Amino acid sequence: MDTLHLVVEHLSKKFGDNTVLDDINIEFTEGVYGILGANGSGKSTLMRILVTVLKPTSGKVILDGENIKKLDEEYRNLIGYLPQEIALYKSFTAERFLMYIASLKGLNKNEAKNKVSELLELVGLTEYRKKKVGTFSGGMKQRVGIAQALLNDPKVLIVDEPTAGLDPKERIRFRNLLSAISSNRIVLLSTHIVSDIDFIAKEIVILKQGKLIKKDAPDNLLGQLNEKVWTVLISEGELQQYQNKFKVGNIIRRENGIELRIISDTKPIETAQATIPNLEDLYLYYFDKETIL
Amino acid sequence: MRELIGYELYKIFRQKSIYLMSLFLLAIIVFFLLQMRGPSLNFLYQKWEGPVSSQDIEKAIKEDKIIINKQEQGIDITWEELKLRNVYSDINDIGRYKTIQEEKLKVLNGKISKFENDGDLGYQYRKLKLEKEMLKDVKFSTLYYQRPAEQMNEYLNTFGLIFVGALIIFGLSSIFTREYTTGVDNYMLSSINGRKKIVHAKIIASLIFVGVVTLISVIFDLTFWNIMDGNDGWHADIHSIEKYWDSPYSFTLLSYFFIQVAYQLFAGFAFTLFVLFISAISKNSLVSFIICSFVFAFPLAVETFIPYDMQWFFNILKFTYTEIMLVDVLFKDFFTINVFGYPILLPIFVIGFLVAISIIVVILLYRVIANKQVPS
Repeated sequence: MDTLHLVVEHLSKKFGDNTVLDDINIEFTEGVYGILGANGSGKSTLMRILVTVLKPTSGKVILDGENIKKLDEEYRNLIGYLPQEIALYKSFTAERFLMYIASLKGLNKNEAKNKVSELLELVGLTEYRKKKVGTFSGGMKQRVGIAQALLNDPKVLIVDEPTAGLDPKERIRFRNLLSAISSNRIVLLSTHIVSDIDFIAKEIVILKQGKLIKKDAPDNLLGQLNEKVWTVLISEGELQQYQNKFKVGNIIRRENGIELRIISDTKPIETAQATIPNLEDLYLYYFDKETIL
Repeated sequence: MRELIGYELYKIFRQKSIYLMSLFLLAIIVFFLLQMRGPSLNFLYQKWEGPVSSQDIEKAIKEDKIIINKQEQGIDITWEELKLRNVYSDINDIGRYKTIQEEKLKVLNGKISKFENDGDLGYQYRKLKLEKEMLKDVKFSTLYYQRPAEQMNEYLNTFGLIFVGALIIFGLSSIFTREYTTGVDNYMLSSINGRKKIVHAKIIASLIFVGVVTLISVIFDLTFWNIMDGNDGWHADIHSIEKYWDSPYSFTLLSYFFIQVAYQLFAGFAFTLFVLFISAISKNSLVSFIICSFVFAFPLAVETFIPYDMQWFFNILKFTYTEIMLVDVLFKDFFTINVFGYPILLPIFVIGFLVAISIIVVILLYRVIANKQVPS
């Protein structure tokens, strides 16, 4: 099968006078894309446009050379979507809810039965299949959510803040699950938890105030931070002064003082030592002053 | 598709509110119907049932006078004598109606002749001719004990209307808004069947629901009156009910019952499509519920307040969902619509009218869902 190409061309979205997305151009091929952005950066709006539940003010989305507007049902047959807030019918059992979504996704009864069983197994909910989803924990609901998104074996899987509200164990479980299902499809994953996309993202897309800031492989993005991430060892009394003056990342207490991780284009002090940047540094580099959500 | 319809039906019938509402309404209906019941008078009518001759009328008037005289002389009359007066009154009504019918035909003939003499053979002329032809066919000349069948017919355009209308509003006004408020619209609108087939499924499931509700209402009606007053009077003419004396339609109570059920169901279907449309464009269930309730209740409410001489307003009301579901408004009198110079009877016209309105509503409904966006 040919490689999928999902292209976003000059995409803008306005709500009244408020420009939420501003002339976005991106191309996605098979693999996992991590979309990073602060609250209000336009991540969810971009995703909603990509899953056709929102219409752009201008611009278009093209899949393999065809406008998705024209592809219509054909395109929607290829997508799976997990919205930021998991929506479920509380009185439905997990199985019934998935069967319902399967019928929305055009699966016939037998296909749906098999697929639902397979996905309940995949997300570890087989023994809860007959339980009402209203009684589920946040993590279990999230797993029902990811199962519904995978029902039609989507070629474009779009998951919006999937790990928000999950405990660390659930997050790891989810990351492994995503990693396992990400081959041969485009996976767009928006998050503010950088560890979610560590190791699994082919590229990272950074959105800020509706604009595309960066789109590159994690190694390349991190490479751009070389000589911009520093460690310094300071005394307890100097901490406040450093926090006011620099972008400070991790703070680690050592026997001989406090080790700070500082993100700065220039060497902050003479004794500072350049260190290997990570994705958290990348996030802080772009979003230090903004609400991280 | 069958699966989707099944799930939509499941969602509709899972709503506890419709069961609570049904029980509440049935309790109220039973309460009021019990006030209206009385012992069967069938045995009093048996002697008189059948074609009524002028001799019968004279005899009935004579026997009625005997009872009246007894009353005037202060002699106690029995319950049976009191109820016999109803029988005599009904017999007398047949005679009175015949006189009125003959008088009306005479007037109509006069008017028709005038139009013919003037060479005006347009809409008014055709309308008068149609009325005359219909009125000639009315044969109200047989007496039956018709109270059970009459009550069963009356139920449809009173309690039956409220029962069906209320359940349509309670059961279906949230059919789309529920998806918006739960957030399931995100899955729905981004799925292959979420913008077209889901609408087919919701429409079909809703119509099935209305069919079931109407069936329950009819079964309740027939059962209640059968238990309370028997199953008599189906062959009586609708003119045996005084409010239909101006009606040019010649129906037995049995055929009229089926006509009423069919019209109520048909108008109920049309109202359902409207409710679905309102639900699709409303932000939440409360807004949808209020709008649908207003549209349903408005004609009933304003009838009480508008002056009787505002006939034009009453005529407009005849084209509302509620009035068409009432049915008797369509058949109580002779009312035609001028379509290219030809008089079309109101009951026929409203079918075309509802079909046209429903087609527009359905087109708009599909368009709304096809263009629907989730709120940001």
